[in-house]
Amino acid sequence: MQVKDAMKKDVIKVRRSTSLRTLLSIFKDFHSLPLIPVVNGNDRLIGIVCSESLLDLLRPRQTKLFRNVPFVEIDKAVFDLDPLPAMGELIITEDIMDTNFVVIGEDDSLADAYKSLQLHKREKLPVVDKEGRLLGIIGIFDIIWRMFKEKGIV
Amino acid sequence: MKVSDYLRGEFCILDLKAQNKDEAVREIADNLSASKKILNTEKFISDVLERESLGSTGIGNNIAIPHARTQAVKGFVIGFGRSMAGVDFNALDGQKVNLVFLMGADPAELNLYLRILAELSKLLMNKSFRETLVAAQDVAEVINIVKKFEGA
Repeated sequence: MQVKDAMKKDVIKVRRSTSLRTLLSIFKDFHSLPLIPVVNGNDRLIGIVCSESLLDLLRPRQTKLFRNVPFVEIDKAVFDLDPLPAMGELIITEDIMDTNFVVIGEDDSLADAYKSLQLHKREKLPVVDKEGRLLGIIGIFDIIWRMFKEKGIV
Repeated sequence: MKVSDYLRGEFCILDLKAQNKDEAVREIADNLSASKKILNTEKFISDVLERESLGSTGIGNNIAIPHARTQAVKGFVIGFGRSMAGVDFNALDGQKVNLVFLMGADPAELNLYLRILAELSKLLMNKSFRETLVAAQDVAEVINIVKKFEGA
C-alpha cells in the first residue's frame, strides 16, 4: 500500500506572503495542525511553518539551549512581551517558514512513511509528487486508519 | 540575544540620501558591505527587495525593518539608516519613514533572526526610543541608545 492511498488530500496551505496574523488564525481554527505547508504559484512545496517557529517570536531572549532544559526556571519575562500589533503584518510566512523540511513521496510505501515519521519525530509530514508539488499530508493516524480499513474493521 | 550585540557604529548612517525604498535599501546595504558577513551585496539587495514585494516592512510610526533570509549573508547582519526628510517606503500607514533597520540572515540562522526581529520590533514600538534615535547626534550615540533601551 502506498502513501497516496492513505494521505489526507484536503490540505490547508499558505503562500510566502501570508501574514503572521493570518497564520495565527489558521493555527487557532485548526488547532490540531502541527504544520502548515507553504507553496508557490505552481503548488510546489517551498517550506513549512510549525508552532515552534511561532513560539520563537514570543521568547526573543530565550536561547534554544535554555528551552531544551525543562527543569531550569523559565525567565518570567518570556511570555511577558509588550503587545506588538505591528508584528502581525511585519512578519510574513517567508520570514519564519522552515525551508529545510522532510517530505514523503506519494509512491512511497506506508511502511516507509511510518519509518520516516518515527525517524524525524514528526506527527505529520507533507506528501509531494516527483516535481515537488504538494499532494497531501500524512500522519501516524492516517496510516493506522488505512490499516484498520484494509482489515474491514472500519 | 540583543540588537546591540550585532549593530556597529560603522553600520549606521545618520543622513540617508535615499528618497525611496530601493535607494534606502541600497544605501544601507552598500555601507554594510564592508562587513565580512555580506558575501554578495547585489544579491542581498535584490533578496531584500523581493521580500518587500511580498509585504512592506514599513510598519507605521515612521519606521521600516526591511529584511531577508538570504544566502548572500553569512550569519547575521544589521545596519541602520536615518533620514530626516523621510523615505517613501510604501508604509502601511502611508507615511514617510525616518528610521530604517536593514537585516539579513543566513537561512540557517532562523532562530537568531526571529529573535532579533522580535526584539527590534519591541524597541521600535517604544515612542521614546524612536524619539531619542531621531535626536541622536552621532553614531556612537545611536549605539548607546540601543544599549540603554535594551538594558531597560
